[in-house]
Amino acid sequence: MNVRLRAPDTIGWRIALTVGAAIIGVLGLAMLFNHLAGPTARETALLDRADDTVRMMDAASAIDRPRLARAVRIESKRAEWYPAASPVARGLALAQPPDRDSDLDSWFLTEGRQRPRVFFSSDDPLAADIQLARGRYPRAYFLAVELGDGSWVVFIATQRDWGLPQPRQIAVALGCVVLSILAASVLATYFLAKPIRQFAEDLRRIGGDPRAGPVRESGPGELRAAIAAFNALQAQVRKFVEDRTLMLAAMSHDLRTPLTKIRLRGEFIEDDDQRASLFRDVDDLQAMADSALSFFRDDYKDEDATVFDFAGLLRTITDDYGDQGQPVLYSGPDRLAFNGRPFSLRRACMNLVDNALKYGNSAELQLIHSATQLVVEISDLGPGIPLHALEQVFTPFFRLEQSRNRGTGGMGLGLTSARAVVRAHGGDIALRNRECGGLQVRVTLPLVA
Amino acid sequence: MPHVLVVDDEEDIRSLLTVFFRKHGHDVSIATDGQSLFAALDAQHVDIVILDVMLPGEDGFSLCRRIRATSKVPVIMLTAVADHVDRVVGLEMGADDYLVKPFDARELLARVKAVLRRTTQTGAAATGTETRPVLSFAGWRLDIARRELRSADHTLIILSSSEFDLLLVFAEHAQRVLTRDQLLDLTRGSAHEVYDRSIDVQVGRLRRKLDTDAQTPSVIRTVRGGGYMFTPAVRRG
Repeated sequence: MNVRLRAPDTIGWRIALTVGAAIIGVLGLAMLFNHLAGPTARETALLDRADDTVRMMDAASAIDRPRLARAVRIESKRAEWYPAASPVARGLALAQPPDRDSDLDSWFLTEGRQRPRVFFSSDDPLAADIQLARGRYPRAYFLAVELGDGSWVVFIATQRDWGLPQPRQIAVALGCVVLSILAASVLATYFLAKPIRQFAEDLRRIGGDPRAGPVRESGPGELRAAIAAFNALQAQVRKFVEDRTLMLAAMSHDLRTPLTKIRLRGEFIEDDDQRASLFRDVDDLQAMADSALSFFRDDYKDEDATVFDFAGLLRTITDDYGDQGQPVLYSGPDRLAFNGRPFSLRRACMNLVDNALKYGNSAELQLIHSATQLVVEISDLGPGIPLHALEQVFTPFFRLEQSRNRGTGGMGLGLTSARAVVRAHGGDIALRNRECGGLQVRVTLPLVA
Repeated sequence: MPHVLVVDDEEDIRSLLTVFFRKHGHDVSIATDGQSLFAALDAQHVDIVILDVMLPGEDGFSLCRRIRATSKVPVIMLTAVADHVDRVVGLEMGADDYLVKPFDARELLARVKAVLRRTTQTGAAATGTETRPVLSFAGWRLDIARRELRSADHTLIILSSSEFDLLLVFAEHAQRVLTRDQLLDLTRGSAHEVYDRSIDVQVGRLRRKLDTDAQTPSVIRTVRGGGYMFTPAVRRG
């Protein structure tokens, strides 16, 4: 038979183990409690001597019994004898033992039969009824054993130190139960919650990146199954994204051949204006295909970082736009070395300047830097962006006011990919509407030595 | 008359380039794949090869390396992938320049002219064993193939395409006076000249990027009587 040595690690199993552990804990505590409360070995010896005393007194004549009783000293415990006719004996004879005390089962036997015996304390109603304890023994235990002739021997012990009144005993027992259950369940839920927390942490870490690796499977079976399902889903999404990127790459690639042909044919157009606008259209088409492709492929990740002159980059952009008759101004230092990916950052900055020109008709670039970071502010004089859309404009394919778009290039990916590039450099882009009108795009990039 | 060999598997692009280059005074041969490429190279003298990367069978990179193994003819590669990795690979394979489709025909013509000017000046194209052509002057390094300018501390200086072309012309004619007309002529054909900008503006921009401080005299000196001179000594490598 194939015996499974390892129990299945499931949430159900873990809960069962917890409950089991709690029960065992409670039982263990109860046993410990009983052990402390029950008779010890020394007490057992005392019970033996008490048993002897009972036999002796039973054998003695009634006249000798009071003296015998007075002579008995078992440790600090004393004995008293009550004739059958005394009220104490009558009361005891009538009393039903409060409960059978199994601890005493093996003692006080006569001819194989148990002698009637009563075990009680000063607090019991019985003690009051038979008027035994009043005054003399305010806090004591009594063990009364009936002799053959109906008289009783009563052993009296002052209450044990550990003895607690009933309510407090219950409180202690309850406390122990609650504590052991709490400890067991806290431990168990910690070990159950840990892998779930880990899973959530992993999910947060990989964020929305479909290219991130699979999450490590750990924890109980149900959670591992959930992680496996997530990994499968992620792989599916990754495959989907890859397929789509591949398709876009193929499209963008295949587009280049007809576009090249259009450009070459354009050389034979005699009308300069017509030719120039044809080339512009081709460029727009190409820019759209490229921006979509670079967005889906994150191709800034392919470019190597190098130290380059960031101020020069902004100047070059300014000059290029200036040559095309676009009002772009630069202010800032002449030189600023920065370690990053120049082509990606150039494209990101150009996207931002394009936006400023498209919606704000002009662009003012300002470069400021401290020891730890550089800031590029691109300001325009356009209508700005409504507050509710300040974050929305970063979403891919989002366009503000479709009707105002002049149809010059762009797929609504400019800001999205600009932010992706800037964030890949450890920086960020923030937008705000200027008090004096227009939008200000603030690009911050950390300067690392 | 320079002889251009166009290697592309697209019929239309071959014929359009043929017409275009003939119109601009070049002899043109065509090839569709590696086999016809080497056949054409053997059959006649070719001044420059325009080589498409995406070809059926053996691709352009591999063909470029094979050309380099046997010949010094300059190669300009055409690719459909605007990828930095691709560009670097092309240059490593010994290509002299690199254009991304869809390219401007005038841009291609300008690059052809520039490459031919460089190679006829030095007498030969870069060979496979040679490192990429780099010009050094006054601490600067001008990587012609990568179209990159780096300062003495290896900082990359961003140049626009026309700034690069002008700087290259200066560096190739160092310590000689060039008139504005000569400069215009040497850089003409570039697509970036469509916005009628004066040479003076370009020179101004180059000075701003090259001159580190106001004390030292400019690397580009204005010569009285109309012209500029690139003052530092230029060496190869």
